[in-house]
Amino acid sequence: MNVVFIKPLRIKIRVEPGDIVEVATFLRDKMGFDHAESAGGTDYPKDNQIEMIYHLGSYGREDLAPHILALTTRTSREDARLPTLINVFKSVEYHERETFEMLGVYFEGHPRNDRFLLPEDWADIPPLRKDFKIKGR
Amino acid sequence: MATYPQRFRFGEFVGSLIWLIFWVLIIVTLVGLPLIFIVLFYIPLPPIGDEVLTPYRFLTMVVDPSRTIPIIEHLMTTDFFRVAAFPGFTYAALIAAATIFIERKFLAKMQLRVGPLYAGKVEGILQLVADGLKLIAKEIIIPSGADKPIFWAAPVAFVAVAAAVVALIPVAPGWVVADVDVGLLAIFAILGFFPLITLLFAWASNSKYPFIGGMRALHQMIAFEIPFILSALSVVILSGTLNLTEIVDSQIQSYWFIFFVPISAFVFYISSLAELERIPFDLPEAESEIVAGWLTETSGMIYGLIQLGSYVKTYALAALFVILFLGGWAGPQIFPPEVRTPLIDISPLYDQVAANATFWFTLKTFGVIMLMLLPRGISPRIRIDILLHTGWYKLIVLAFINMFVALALIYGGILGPGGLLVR
Amino acid sequence: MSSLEDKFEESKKLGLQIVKESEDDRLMTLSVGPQHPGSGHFRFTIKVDGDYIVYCDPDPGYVHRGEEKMCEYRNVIQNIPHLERPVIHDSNNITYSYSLAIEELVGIEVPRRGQFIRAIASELNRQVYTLYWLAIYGIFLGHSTMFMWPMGDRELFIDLLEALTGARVTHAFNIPGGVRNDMPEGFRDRCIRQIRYFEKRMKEYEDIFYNNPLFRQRTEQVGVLSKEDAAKLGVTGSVLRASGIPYDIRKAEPYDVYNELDFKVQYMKTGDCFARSYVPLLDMRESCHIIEQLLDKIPQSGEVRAKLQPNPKGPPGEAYRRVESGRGALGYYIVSDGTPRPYRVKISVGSFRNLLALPYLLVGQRLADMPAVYWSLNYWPVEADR
Repeated sequence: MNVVFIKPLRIKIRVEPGDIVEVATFLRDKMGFDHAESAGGTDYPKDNQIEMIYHLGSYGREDLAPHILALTTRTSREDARLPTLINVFKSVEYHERETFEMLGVYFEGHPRNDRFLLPEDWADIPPLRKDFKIKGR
Repeated sequence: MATYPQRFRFGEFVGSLIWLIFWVLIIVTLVGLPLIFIVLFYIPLPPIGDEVLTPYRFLTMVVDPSRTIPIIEHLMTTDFFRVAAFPGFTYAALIAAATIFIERKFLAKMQLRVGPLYAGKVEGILQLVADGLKLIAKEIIIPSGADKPIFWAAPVAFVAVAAAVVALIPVAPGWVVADVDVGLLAIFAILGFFPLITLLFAWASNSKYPFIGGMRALHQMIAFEIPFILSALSVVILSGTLNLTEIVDSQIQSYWFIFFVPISAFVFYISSLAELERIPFDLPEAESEIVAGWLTETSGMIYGLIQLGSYVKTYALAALFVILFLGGWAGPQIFPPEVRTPLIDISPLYDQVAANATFWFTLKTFGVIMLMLLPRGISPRIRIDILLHTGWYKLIVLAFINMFVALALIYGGILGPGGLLVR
Repeated sequence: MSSLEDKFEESKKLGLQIVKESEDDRLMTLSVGPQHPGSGHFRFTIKVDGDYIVYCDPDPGYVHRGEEKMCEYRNVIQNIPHLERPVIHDSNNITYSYSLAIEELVGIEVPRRGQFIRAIASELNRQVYTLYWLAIYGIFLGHSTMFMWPMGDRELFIDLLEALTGARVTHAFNIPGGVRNDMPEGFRDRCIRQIRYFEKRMKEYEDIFYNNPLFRQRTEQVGVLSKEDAAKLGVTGSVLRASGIPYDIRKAEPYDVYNELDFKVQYMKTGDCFARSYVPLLDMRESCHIIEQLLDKIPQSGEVRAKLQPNPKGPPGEAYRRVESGRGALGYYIVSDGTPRPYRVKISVGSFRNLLALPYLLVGQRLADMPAVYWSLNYWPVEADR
């Protein structure tokens, strides 16, 4: 695990996919971050990796209210699989589902890796990947 | 939709007119006149005054309108006039139409807006005509799996049953279509048809949302029929008869029954709101929950018929409220005993008592209708469990309370034959 | 969470089975879809057992336009018009957060008068959105007057915003660096007059709408979301504050000039539909106080916009800024790689987060409560789809 940057009120850390559940559990139980505000992915074709970032916030602790901790992990683009954090933070259920369909990252343990926002007859690559070009631009 | 008009040629126009006149002449002489003579050979013509009404006499009346007065007078005594014009269907339909317009305007003023404004010169008064034309012109879409005979028959039955209720309501002494001795009981029996028609129509629509709407309508109407009947029962106890004309007469002799049994009037009012499916009781047609309830699959004239029936029912129940609690047509005499018109003498048609009675009856009915329109701007929709709880528990208890008050008044000798307050 | 979660787990077993409708007569599947007066542009499927809902499955995406992908094809200023389309009548807030994030990345300093005008526009927009929300809530409960009156009063604020920005909705007013133009003359007096009138109207709303016994019967004790569940499910905005957690980003992490203002975070403890419908009214009152303070403290003259290069770009980096909008916390996560176009824009909207509570809350409620619960979650379908 390494710390990517520390700014006032924003901290970003990166962990390996295997450790993410443990780290998330630790953050929830010991540090008091009780929900994930948002969870999304970014496609880095230059490093051949997809980065998944969870922004964690805290409703319970007053001093942590303005802080957002960004918990990130990276996985390869060809075989994008990540363990799900749904058992740790319930609020990531829809965000992970959206990341699955938009970026193609399969979350192991998530009850529904399903179409969510895209139409049922979507027959193209996941749209948020950089290979997907919007037609006409 | 709109077609491009062809270029106008005067010669063609004149030619088409002549063609039209030709065909009219052919049809009238070869088909129309013989038909009239054959019909008149077999039908006995009514005697007017001292002469028989022949078609020649009828044609002379076009020249001299005052000779139509005896015909109209004769017409007003027939049953057909009672059923069709007054106090029957035309009167009810006119009041229903006026109710729809007043409702839209009234509600609009309550909600800081204007209501219909553009149809007609004066504040949108022809809006209903526009709506009626629109509904007639719309396509009637029937779902493929629907039960077609019931789908077509149910709206017609709805209007017919509403008109049947109107047939029992007296507007003025002697002016009632069917003067039945058990009038009130007949009205409740006829009102019992409405949940059946609603459920049949909802079932015949073969769709989920109408099904839910129909079940809700069934629950609602049946739950509120019992307080309805019980509240009317106190009036029957006070007046001692089921005949509607005699109920009004007994109120003319003493005071209006609403002063004696106000809680019953209140229960009757709430139950009639539930029978009419008006807000706050419009669950069967709840728009935000079950699309349009049992009216989901209606379109065009079917919807128009059901709305007409619904508003005729509104008039009928408001008129019933007026008869039972507000003294029917009782009111001070404000019409002169004789009326003089400059050109045509219509004194055989003018009946002072009937005119006064009609005026007061209509006024009171409109007042009650406005009271029924009022909750639409004030409250949200009720939920089914609150509705059933109110209908089965609270309203029945309230109706019973007033029944005991009515019984006490009769036994105490205050009302009833030879009572203290009977004039 | 145990009772809510257990109920939902049981219901999922019931709902996810593929049960042919003719075999199990009790369950009826209803599609509360886009062609439904009670759903907006959003579809969810519910299974009903008699009058009780046993399973709910939301299915958003009817108005998905790919906002996040479109942002990568336009430069920083060109993104503003299409980014405010997700919520057209709360557009000042959704572009506020974006502007804050871009300013952090590029390194722009917003002049003080611009900050005040941004805050005024944001608060006015909050009123506009909340009134619209209240109006639709009236329709969902079947109360047509509750639709007409807020819509009528909303016109006052739309007039103010039209005078300020030039458009009734989709203002395109906030840009990275400030606002597009200055306040017109006479704006301050007009604003104060309309706020005074609106405060009187809010008292009328309370009397007529919120103290209506039927309204209370339909919304109290319906769809209760407890405090722990709210924190676990990660809901935000007025839904969170109605469940007893006084979290407001304007107080928790003040941005621009909000740390100089004096206002309280309004919250209620019950967590039922009535609380969720009452907290926005309290928020609107606080908003009125905030606008008055802003109009008092605004510097009388000054620039409203920082000078920008034609294609603003900054060093590679990332930023996450959030703003309290009408629905809740609206966060933007923007990754920049040194070019004028953002590399990745992730929008975290309040509606998408609140949607998670819908299946949990609807289980066990009556069919008639479905619109009351659904809309009280302050869900705007277009925003959640982005």
